[in-house]
Order: sequence, then structure tokens, then C-alpha cells
Amino acid sequence: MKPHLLFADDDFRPEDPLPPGTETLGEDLGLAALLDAMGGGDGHLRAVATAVTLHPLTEPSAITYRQAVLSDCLDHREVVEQIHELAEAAVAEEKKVWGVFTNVPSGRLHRAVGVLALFTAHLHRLRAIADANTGRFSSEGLRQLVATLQSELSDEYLEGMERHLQLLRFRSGVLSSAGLGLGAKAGDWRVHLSTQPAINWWQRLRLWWRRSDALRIVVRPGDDDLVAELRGQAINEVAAALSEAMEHVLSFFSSLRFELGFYLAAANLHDRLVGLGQPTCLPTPAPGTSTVLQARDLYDPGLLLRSGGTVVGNDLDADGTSLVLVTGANQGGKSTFLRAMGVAQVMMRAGLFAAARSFSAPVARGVFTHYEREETSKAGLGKLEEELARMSQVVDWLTPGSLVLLNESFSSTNEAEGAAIASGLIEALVESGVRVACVTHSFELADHFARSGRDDVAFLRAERREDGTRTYRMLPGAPAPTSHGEDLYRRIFGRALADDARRGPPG
Amino acid sequence: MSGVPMGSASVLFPSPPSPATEIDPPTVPSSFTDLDFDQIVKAVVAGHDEYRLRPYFGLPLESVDAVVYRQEVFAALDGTPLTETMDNFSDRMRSVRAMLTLAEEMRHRYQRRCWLLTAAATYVGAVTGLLGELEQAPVTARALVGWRERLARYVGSEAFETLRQDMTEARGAIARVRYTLLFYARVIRVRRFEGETDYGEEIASFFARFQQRGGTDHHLEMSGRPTMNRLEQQVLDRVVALFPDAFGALDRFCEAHPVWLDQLVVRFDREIQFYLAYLEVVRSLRASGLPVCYPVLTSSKDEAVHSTYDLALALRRLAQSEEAGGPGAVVTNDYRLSGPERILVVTGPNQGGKTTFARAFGQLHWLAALGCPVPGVHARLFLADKVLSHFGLGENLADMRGRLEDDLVRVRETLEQASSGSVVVLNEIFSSTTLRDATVLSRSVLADLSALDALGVCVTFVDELASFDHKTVSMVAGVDAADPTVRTFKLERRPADGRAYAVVLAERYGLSHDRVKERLAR
Repeated sequence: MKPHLLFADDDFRPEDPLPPGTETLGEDLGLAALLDAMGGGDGHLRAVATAVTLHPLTEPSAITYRQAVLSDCLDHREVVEQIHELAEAAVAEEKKVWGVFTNVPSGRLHRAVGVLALFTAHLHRLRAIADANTGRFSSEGLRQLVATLQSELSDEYLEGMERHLQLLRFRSGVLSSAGLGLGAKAGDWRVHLSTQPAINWWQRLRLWWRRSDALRIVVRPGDDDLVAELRGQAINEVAAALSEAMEHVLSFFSSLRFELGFYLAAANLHDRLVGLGQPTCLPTPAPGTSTVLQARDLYDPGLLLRSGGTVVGNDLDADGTSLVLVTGANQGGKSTFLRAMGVAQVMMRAGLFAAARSFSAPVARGVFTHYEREETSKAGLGKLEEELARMSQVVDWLTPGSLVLLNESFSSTNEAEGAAIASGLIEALVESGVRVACVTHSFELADHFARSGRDDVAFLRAERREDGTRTYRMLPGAPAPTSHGEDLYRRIFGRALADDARRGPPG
Repeated sequence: MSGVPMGSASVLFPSPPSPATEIDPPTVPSSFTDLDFDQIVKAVVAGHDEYRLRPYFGLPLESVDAVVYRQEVFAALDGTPLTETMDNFSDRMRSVRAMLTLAEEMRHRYQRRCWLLTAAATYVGAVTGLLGELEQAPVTARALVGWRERLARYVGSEAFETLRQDMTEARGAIARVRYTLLFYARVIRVRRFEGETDYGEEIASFFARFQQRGGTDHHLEMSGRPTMNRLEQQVLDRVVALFPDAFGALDRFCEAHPVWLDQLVVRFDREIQFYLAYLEVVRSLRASGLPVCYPVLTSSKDEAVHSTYDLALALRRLAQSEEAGGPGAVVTNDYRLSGPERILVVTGPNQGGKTTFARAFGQLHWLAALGCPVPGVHARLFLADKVLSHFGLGENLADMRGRLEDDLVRVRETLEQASSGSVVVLNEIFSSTTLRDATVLSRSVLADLSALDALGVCVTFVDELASFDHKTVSMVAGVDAADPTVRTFKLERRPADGRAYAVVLAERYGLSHDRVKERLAR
């Protein structure tokens, strides 16, 4: 009995290792703002959102399964919140049941009986919610959950549960059996009920009590501890079984809380983005082998959340390409656009909506980033070596069908060398079936691809008006030789570059 | 055991030395500590204390045949399922000993007898299991074939068969005992079990629908003490009364078989540990990428060794790496002696790996003479009658004699013990005197060694010695060609060349076009 709201027929495993490079990916794409918005101030919700978002899906069918549940949750939020609250309450109440002497079997059994008695009430209520919402949902995930609750938590089952909890208080003594273990010590203990179901428990004991083939031990004064210890061994097995049952019921409530929590977190994010006047859409996940790549009004939700103001959406028509190469003015929105592409892929792979009016792309096998770093991290390595080491690490992780985002890679060396390293690398990646999105101010690098005659490259350029102002729009277009750093310099310094400086490095 | 003559009763010696030698071996020469061989032995026998293996490491073998006798066993166990067979056997024999000790401590007659029964069952299982697996295994090692024959004879004997039958019968009877207890108020009632159903199982299956992934084991660890308290003994008394047949069978077994451990089995259990203990070390060396090989031993003094290293140093690094993570690099070295060549003269910078090499050279010959696999990819070695050493002295010498005098006295002693069949390791001799003295004295010592025709290595700061005569070979501890302050710890007949630092940085990181395609094609 499992919620199965995140996978059609599997559990979500938060403890599974994250894909390599996840931490870097999160930093480079600014995912923290997104996850904060999903948490909405609730630490647990944020943790849930983080775990699910960072454990990506790679199958389109798995993505559409979650998208359907997400739509249901947005449509019937009050029901989903009701179940989530109930699961949360069950988890919280278990923590409040104190156990005395839980280091001995009798204490442990006692606590398990107490907790399960509490859970019985929650299970009754859960069943009632399911009954009240039969037929309400349209997604496979939530329909299945309602059906499961109704069939597994039948009246008969819940009654049986209460009956067992009564018997386990052992009001009429403990009947148990053992064999001879090592050194004749009692071992392989079992607890028993009647073998004759026609007679009830109490009658059976009375009969048994009077049998003459039993040998008696009358406990000596002062031996009570010894009796307690032996009795503890006798019921250890059943105490363990019941504790395990308790843990499983608790874990069911936890899973329910966790899985619904993800959709409530998604709803939080949805509220924020829509509240700020931006569009969202359920993306169309294409198989990994497809080369469809289309977006309308694609924006970076992290930037929107951080700035709280307006953002510029961009369109992308890049069907049939494997490399998106963005060039153009500094401060022109190139990095933001690259981030928007990456975030859209991350959100799609989590089963979330995308921050765009529409978005369709192949589901990447993995998403990796290689960004220019301000700080040199590893002692003893030069900046270029540090970049190369990181890139080599990324290549170790890459598989065909992955997406890699390069932001001004190898700009720590001179342009000619940087372009030589990057162009060979990018060509090798694309030829190996890796999709690449690359932002560069290196005309050398961009021009290399512009003149290569390849038809699998989409060129975009950050727009800059005649007067030098930036629109933050990416327009299709081959790279232009002039860098716009000059504009920036003029604006910040209030004067033009000197002629000497302009000649700059050759190339 | 009589009749057809069989091979040696020992899996260590084709013809065993006298028992006295084995227990109290001749005192080991000072080279044992000079070469850090004591550290190696310590690491090998660690965790095998109860077998007293140390003496075996002080008894070098005197014939190539005796060495091969052991190498055969090593090879049979090295990385084969037979190791597991032997480990299993040892584990069971260890349990047997523990149980016999425990039985002695039991107060209740039937507790004691139950332990004796379990010990006997474990022993019978160990012996028959070992024989069964040896019969399945493709064993050709002479020592193991001989042992298999002896063991088969023992297992086929009437005494063993009776032991097995009586044990099996008593075990079956005891295993069938199952009793029921009712705890109610201050009375416990004990009765024979009558097939009542398991309520714990019923609970588990009732709640099974909530089964989630994972979960913890909720069984509480019950008291592990093997003895019984008053109440448990009272219960046992009643159980004995309820099951007279089962406990009768137990009594019959114990009275018929007061003693059953066979001395040959006990001896094998100890001797085989020599191999198992050493192979444990071999495994951990290989796991961290260090080569180990079976040396080819000859009576010729042509030697060729590829990629050897100081085993004591490697084991220290391994031990450290378990704490620190990532084993420190161990540098390997090659050397060759051919034709008239007998003595490696090692010179080079301080801390350049010279002494380490000298130790490795000595260890190689010690280990080879014990029949053990040695550090390296390949080794052809001379079987030495002795491994002798003379190491420069530390600062804490009691200055009874002058240092130089002491050096000279000990060198003379060393040379007196040496024969043409010996290996001599001289490390930093005469380092406490002037260059002129050292040169003259060292030349004289080398002349003696050369005349003896012994094999040896001589670490010295006197460069002149490197070209002493046709029997000496010069080895130099290397430095980095680009940065002479960096030691390579490689000893070579010729120093290596430098390298170029170029713009092939990307290539070095595997990021050239072709390398990236290769890497992604995996």
C-alpha cells in the first residue's frame, strides 16, 4: 500500500544518489530561489521539493504521469491539502507517544500497541476522505490512490486491526514456545494463540492451566526480574513484528505526506509565477532521440522571483539542431537565457510545469553546466587548469543524450587558445550525441562554427539597439565581430576606450 | 597411520625439521630488523596470533625443492576458491576451540554437554567439509595431495565414523526438543510443544499491506551470556524431565567420546595459516595496485627483478591509507645482475630511496627463501643460504667503542658469517668517518665481498665505489630532470630524461577532440 504519486509503479527514493554535478548545476542555474518559492517558508516542503526536483526523470511517460497528477492537484487543491494535513498530523502524533522501557520487549510492544491504536483513527479518517472523493480526480495517480485506500482500508480490516491490538495487551498471560539453542539456552521463541479456534482464548488458557502433564515453577520471591527477562525473550519476536508494522504504517503516512508535499510545493511556485503575471505551461517532453526544440516566452523563473519585477521572455525555434550558440553584447541577457533553457529542462524532468508559454524539448539524459568561475578553487592549479579539470570531470559524467550548458568556458586563457580548446571539444560533444548550449563573447569561437557550414547549429545573438541599449532579447543571427564591452566601458567610465587599449590583443 | 608410505606430514616442509627447531628456532640474524623484516612478519601474523606463526619466518629453506614445495601451495590457494575452503576450515576449528573452552565454564551438566556436542558437530563438519572440497578441487601441489590422502584415511577410519554417527543421533534428538511455557502471575508452566500456530507471523502478515521500503530490524538484542541464571536452570531441569530420550542420547554420546581432536588435523590447521596469513597481505597489496609474483629460484647468480619494492614500507603505507584514504605512492624498482655482476652499488641524493631499495633487495631474498611470493612483477633469484646486513648506526649508540671501531667490528663479523652463497646488504657503511677513510675502508670491504663472490647491495656516499670492479653495477637514485630538487625514488643504471611542458594542457586533461570522442564512446 503505497501512494505512488511520483511514479506509476515505484517508490520515490530520496536517499538515491543525486546525479553527479548536481550541486554545481543548482548554483549555476540559481535553483535556490525556485526551491525557496516551492517551500513557501515551510522547511519540510522545501526539502521535499529539493529532493524530487534534483532526482530527475528521463522518460517522457514518467513525466506526463506527474504532469497529470499536478494538474489534478491544482484543480482540487483543498482535497489534496486535507489528505496532506492528515498525514502530517499522524506523523507528528507518533513522535509525541513516549515509550517507557523501550529497551525491553514488553516496553517496546506496549508503545507499538499505543501508536497503532492512534493510527487506527487516522486510517478511518483517510478512508472517509477517499469515500467522499470517489470519481473526483482524473489523473491515474490520484484515482489509483483513492481506489487503494478504499480496498485496503476496508471496515473489516480496520476492525481486525483493533482486535489484534486488544489481544496484544496479553491480559491473560503469555503462551510461548522455545527450542534448545546453543548450550541448551532457550532459543527460537514463538508466541501462540489457541490452536483450537472454536474455543476462545480465555477458555483455552483455563483448560491448559489445569493440565497435569505440565511441570510447574513457582517463582521465588526476588526472582521477578528473572521472570521479566525470560518473558521478554518470549515476546521479543512478536514485539519486533508489531514494531515493524508500526514503522510501516508510519512510513506510509510519511510517504503520503512527502509525495503530496511535492505537488503542494509545485502549487506554491505556480501561485508565485502567475501572481507575478508570467505564463506557465506543461512542457511537451520528447523522446531523447528527438531533435525538437521549441519555446515561446521562455524566461528564468529564478530571476523573476529574485527581482520580483518583469522579465523578458524569449522564443526559440531550433528544431533539428544539437548546438545552440549564443553570442552578442555583454550584459545583454545571454547568461539569463542560457539559465532559462537549463531551468526549463530541470523543471520538465521533475514533472513540473515550465516557465514559458510553451516548451518542448527532448528529455535530456543528464544536465550539466560548465561556467566560468570567479574564484580559483583548487590550490596549485592555474585558472585554465582549474577549468580544464572541471570540464574533464563533466566529460566523465556525460552520456549521449545529455545536455551541457557552457557559459564563457575557457575564457581564462587568450581568445585564440580558448577558442581552439572549446571548438574541438564542442564538436566532439555534438558528434557524440551530446546537446550543447553555449554562451560566448568569443568571436573566434562563434565564427569557427559560423564558417563550418554545419546545419545542426542554432545561432542566437543578444539584441543591441543602435543607441547601445539592450533589449535582453535573443534574436536568430550569426555572430558579429565587434564586442560590446566598449559600450559598457563607456557607460561605466563615462568615456571611451583609449586607442591603444582598443587595438587590444590581436585576433 | 601406517602401511603405504605417504608424503610429509607437514604442509610446510617436505621433510619436517625436528619439533624442537620448530618451537624454538635459531635466533634470527640482525638483518631481520635491519631489513624491517620484523615489521613484515608482524603485519603478516597480525590477527593470527593463536597459531604462533612467527618461528616459521625465521627458518629459511635450504633447497630449491623445499621452496617449490611451498610455492605450489601458495599458487593453489592464491586467488582460488581453495582459500575460502581453508578459511572456512580455520573458522570452524577456531569455533571448536572456543566451544571446548566454554564447555569447561558451564555449571549445569546439560549446558556443558550440549556445548561438547556442538563442538564435536562443528569439528566433524570442518574435517569432512575440508576433505569434500579438497576432493573436488584440482589439487596438484604435493603438500596438499599428501594431506588429502592422510585426511581421507582419517575420515574413513572406524573411530571417526562412530564419532560421526553418535554425534548425528544426539544432535537430531536435541534439535527436536520444543517446549511450551505459560507465564501467568507468579507461576510458569512447562510442557511439550503441541503445534500451536505462530502469532508473530500472523501479526506480520496482517500488517503486510503497509510494507514499505527498507525499515529497521526491531529485534532487541537479548542477553548474549552463554550461562544460565537460576530461573533458566529451573526451566532446563523441567525440560530434561519432559524429554528423557533426547537427553539420554546426549549422555550416551558424551560418555562414548570423551576425546576426539586429532593431532594431525590440529597441525594442519596451524601450518596452513602460514599460507593464509601471507596471502591476506598479498591480496591487500594487489588491491592497491602493487604487484606480487612467484620468484623463479635458481642456484645461478644471474638475477633479474622487475618492479619490486620495500614490502615493509608498502605495508605501512597501506595501513596509513586505511586511515587517510588513498594509498601513498609506492615506487617500484628494477635491477639485473648478469655474467660476473654480483654487487649493486647505490649512490645518489639523500632521501632518494637508496636505503629503501637496499631493504627491498634483502627482503626479496628472505621471502624467496621462505617460499613466499615476493613484491614485483617478475623475479629470478638466487636461493641464498643467509641474508646478512650491516646498517649504519643510529645516534643512540652507547659509545663504549668508537663508532668507526664498532662499524669495523660488525662488518668483520658480517663478512665472517658470509659465504659465496650469501646475500649481504651494506647500508651507509663508514658514514661516520672522513671521505678518505670511508673510501679506503669501503674499497677493502668490497674487495672482500668480491673475492667471496657473494651477492650484495652496497649503499654509499662514496661515488667512486660505483665503478669498483667488473662485479659491481652502479645504480643511481633518480631526480626529476626538470626540477632536480624532486626525487623520483627510482634507481636506474642510467638517469632518465626530462620532459617538456607544452600547450598540450588540454590533451593532458583528456579534452582534445579525439580524446573526448573516445571517452564518450565507452
